[in-house]
Amino acid sequence: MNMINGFVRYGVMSLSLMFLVGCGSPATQDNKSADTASGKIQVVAAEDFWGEVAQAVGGQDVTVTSILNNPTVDPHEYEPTPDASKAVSDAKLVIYTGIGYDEWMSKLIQASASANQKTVIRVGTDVLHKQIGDNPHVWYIPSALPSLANDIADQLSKMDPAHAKEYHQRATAYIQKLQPLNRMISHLKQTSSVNIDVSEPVFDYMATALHMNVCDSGLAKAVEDGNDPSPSELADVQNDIKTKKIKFFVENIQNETPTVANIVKLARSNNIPVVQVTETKPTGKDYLTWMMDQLQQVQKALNNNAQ
Amino acid sequence: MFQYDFMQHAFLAGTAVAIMCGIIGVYVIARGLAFITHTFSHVGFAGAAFAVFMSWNPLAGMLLFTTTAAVSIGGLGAKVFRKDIPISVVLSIVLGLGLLFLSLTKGQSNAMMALLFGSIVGIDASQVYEMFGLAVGILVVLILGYRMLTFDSFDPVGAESAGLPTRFISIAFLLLLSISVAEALQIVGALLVFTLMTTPAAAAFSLTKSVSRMLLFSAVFAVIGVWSGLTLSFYTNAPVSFYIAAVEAVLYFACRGWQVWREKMLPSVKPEHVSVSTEM
Amino acid sequence: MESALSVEHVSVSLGGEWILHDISFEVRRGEMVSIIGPNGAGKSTLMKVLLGVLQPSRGRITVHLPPAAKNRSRSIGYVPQSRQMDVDTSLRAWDFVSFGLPHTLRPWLNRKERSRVREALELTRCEELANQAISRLSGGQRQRLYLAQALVRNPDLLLLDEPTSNLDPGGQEMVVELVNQIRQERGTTVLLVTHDMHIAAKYSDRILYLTRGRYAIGRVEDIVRPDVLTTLYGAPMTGIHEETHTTAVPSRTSSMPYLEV
Repeated sequence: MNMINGFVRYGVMSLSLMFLVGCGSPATQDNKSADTASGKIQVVAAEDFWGEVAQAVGGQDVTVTSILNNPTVDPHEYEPTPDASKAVSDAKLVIYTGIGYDEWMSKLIQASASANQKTVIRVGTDVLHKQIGDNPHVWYIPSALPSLANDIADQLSKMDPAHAKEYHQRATAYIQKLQPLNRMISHLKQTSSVNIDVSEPVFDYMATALHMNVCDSGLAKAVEDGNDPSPSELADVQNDIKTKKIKFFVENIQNETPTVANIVKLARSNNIPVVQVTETKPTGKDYLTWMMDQLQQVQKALNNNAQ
Repeated sequence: MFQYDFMQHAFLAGTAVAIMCGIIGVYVIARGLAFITHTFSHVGFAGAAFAVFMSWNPLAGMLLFTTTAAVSIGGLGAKVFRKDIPISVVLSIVLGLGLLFLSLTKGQSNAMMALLFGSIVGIDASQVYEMFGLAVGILVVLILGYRMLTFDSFDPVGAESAGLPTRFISIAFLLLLSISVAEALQIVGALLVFTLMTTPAAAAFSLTKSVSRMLLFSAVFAVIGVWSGLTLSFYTNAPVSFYIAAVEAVLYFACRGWQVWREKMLPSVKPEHVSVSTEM
Repeated sequence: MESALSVEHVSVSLGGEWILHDISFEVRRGEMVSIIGPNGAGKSTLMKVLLGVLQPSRGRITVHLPPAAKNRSRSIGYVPQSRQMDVDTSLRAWDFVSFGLPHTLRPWLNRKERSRVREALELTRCEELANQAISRLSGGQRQRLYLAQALVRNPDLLLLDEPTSNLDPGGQEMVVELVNQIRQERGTTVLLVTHDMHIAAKYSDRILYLTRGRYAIGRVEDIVRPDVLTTLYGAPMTGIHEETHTTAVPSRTSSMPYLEV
């Protein structure tokens, strides 16, 4: 395009403005150009827990870039950078949550002319058959990662039939590796429904798996939307705590609001245990240790009640 | 940089947005409406929340709310010197409504809002055409209405006395503004629209006193900001919006500084030497 | 002489109050009529009615155009009483004056329009100010620019609403002198609202004295007379005739409140 050549010249000119605005943060991703040359399959995951699965299944045959790999970034407020776009543009396989959680990813895919040559796995709809409007925190569904592992193995096998066997073997191995989590869940699963309150609907799928009933979905939705909870919802939560209707309170420590802080304080003073969870994977933990740590808190909370 | 389609799309759509916003921005500043673009993005959010609640297309709700807000602000404020008052009134009602619809809507409405606020590095080819179409449409209207709009924006009292339909102009301009904000929001995001509609025009005002040159400078500044912002962002991976906002701010302060310096250097306008005989 | 404007039994009621009541007068082409009277007498309302911005409750206004003029808005030039001018969004004098041109959908000025702007600037002795920002001009210079904007459409009737209210006495005199010269050169009919009896008396052919409910129109000598003034003000007044001008003063200073004349 002729227009583009003009743009390049101006782009180079405007680079001099860098001295005025200071240097930006250096690129954080690995050097991908070398990988492209090596013939590995480029995989991009919107969130790092999906990236972990892709890496486990793909092994040395793939290069995985996770775009949201920092727990301090709120996925709801993420603004894609050119590096994210570059990664998506170069990718053969793109994995994201979908169902409205990370819509920016669909835009990044569309922005690339090779959009229809990419394999896209929207975990929410393609793997777990959820719809837009459903709770998007689907990585809290115990079967989510095992199902995704198999799906990724299938897709990678189509792209790279030579390594199909390895992909499926690695998927099985990864599912095997997650076994302690399943054992923990069946260990903690309640025989009769147990009430809990949550600060945000992050933990809900796990709560369902544990046969626990979330009583305050209204308040949780308001906190997640950044809205003020209605006074009656707040009063209900306070009553749940004071009358010990709930076994424990689940707090998303990635989104602290004064309302939640007050509820946590009230819960502590009423000897209601508080289970601290995060929406996204904390730095330095893999999916298994992250989930296990949270479930151990649940176990402690249940024991606390038993005493 | 241009081997990536998304960068080509970003440059093309970004240029269209920059020219459109730069030109509208001159009138936004002249009419004292700098905050209204910001207001419209909030109003758009409330409209989208309403649309999600009604199970409509979010864009329809966004356009419905922003144009309604435009008409009511225009109707309330055509004669009001302090335009921030009707703007605040409308903004507060609408923000309240937005929160109401958000809480009434089942499911993850917040996540669906993400659909509405675009990102400049996530633009597909059809959106490039859409953006160009919008920019051309807006510019044609502005060219045809140039004389009336300019008179009314820079000399409202004079325009009214000259028999111009000032209320109509005011509402028409706000409508134009609301549509361009709502559409551009979806493609390039809120911060970019707000930045490009105010800062380049403000810089142009300190540089020249000629309306045609203001329009030209404002559009050029906006385009420089978008191009350099995209380029810097591409090589450093900091958000594009940050760079564009930063480049525009640097341009603004540079122009402002130049204006202050020039005014110090220049002698004030010559004292009266016009000879008018007072003898009959 | 040919009539330029006729006002027949015009009444204006705003908020249940009669601002103007049954006013009739006629203005001849090329004549300068000063409209004087205390604050709140309805002077600005009369201006708006003449401009067509405000419809009279009763009565009729006819602007008699010379055959060449095509429509009414083109042939009336108006200089409003006050102007909102923001220092930060100030623009150059040339652009400001060009606003006064008749409106078309064409954004640029053609050669004819440019020469009209230049002419209006010359006429008001503003040619050197064309590229200056309005915010840097003095009160008198600005007032001349406002006049230039009104003159650029080459009006047959010029309405000036207190063009001198923000100026010092010398500046006031200069602006009205300029208007008078333009009137003589171009044969423009001028209606001038002013508080300055001295200026009114010196330059106008006739004076329209307006006060709530009452008015009088006539030559300066006929209006500035003790009996007429007393009737209009509702208090004893007298006119002082000096060599060059006439002033109205209360006849017993001690018993009279201050009146703006």
